[in-house]
Amino acid sequence: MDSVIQAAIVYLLLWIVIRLTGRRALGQLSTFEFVLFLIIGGTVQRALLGQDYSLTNAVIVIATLVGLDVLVSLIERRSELFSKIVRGVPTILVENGRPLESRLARARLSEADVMAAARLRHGIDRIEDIKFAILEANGQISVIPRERTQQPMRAARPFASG
Amino acid sequence: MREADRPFRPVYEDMHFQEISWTLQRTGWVAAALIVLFALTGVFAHGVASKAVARQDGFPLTVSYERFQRMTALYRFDISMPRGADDEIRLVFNKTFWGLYEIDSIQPQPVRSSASEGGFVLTFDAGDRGLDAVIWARPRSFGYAPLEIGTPRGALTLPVLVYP
Repeated sequence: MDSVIQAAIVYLLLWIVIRLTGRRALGQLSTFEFVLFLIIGGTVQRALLGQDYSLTNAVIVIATLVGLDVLVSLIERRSELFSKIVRGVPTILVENGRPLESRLARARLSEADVMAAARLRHGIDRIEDIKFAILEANGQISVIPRERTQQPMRAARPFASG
Repeated sequence: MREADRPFRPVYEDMHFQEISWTLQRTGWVAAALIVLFALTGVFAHGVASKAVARQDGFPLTVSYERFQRMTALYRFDISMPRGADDEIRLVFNKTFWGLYEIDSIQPQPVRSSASEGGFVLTFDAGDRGLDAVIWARPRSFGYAPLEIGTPRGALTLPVLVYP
């Protein structure tokens, strides 16, 4: 029973830690932050297993963690509020080429972070060319270029025959 | 505002929820900072606030220990008692002590050990100057524990809080 309770507490604790660090930590992990998260994982591992390194304990802990994760995903499907609490909500950071400074500051992001995402995914080098930049619930920054929303989608031309 | 007049948004935003989320996040940062601060002072063991000495006027026994401990971590109890008329010194540990701890080592080794009604008795050689014993032990469970270490004539109470 101890293992189940410990695993449940650790699951909750990890969720709190990840939510506290904010989505910045999830989507924009630097190498150092990645190593930091590995250390956190190692620290938690000891708290999870204690001095019991038996296979039975490992199976109990894994089953509890996986079970909780499935349970959370099932509740998320039923409750929008729960889903918001667990995952967070998307936030627009740039609108029509204009960075929303207060939102960037509160999300601990900079214009440079948005531009890095824009360059990587769309080759955009000017913020004016961004229609929307969105901090997604998973921590990634998605970018919608201006042209895409301003110009209607063209129908694919059929191959020229003959 | 008509639906058609609303500016296009590629995602459903809930800024009220997001603001609450950001506020809670910052509250969490303060809580994390307080945890670190308390940890530095020793409230979570291994620090100034954790060090304690149990002694009583007119009673020869002194025990240094940590009042805050963590489950399964190793803790040291320093027990001092000057030599009396007898060649042996008997220390009585209450049942809470033996129930809570897994003993890692006792130095110097007791001459004898026996169970009594009040707990467990360790008998040491009094030597020339008395007893200076060290017990290393690990708490096996968490919670508040009123430990008692004494002699057949009386006991010192050592209140200990063990964190999970």
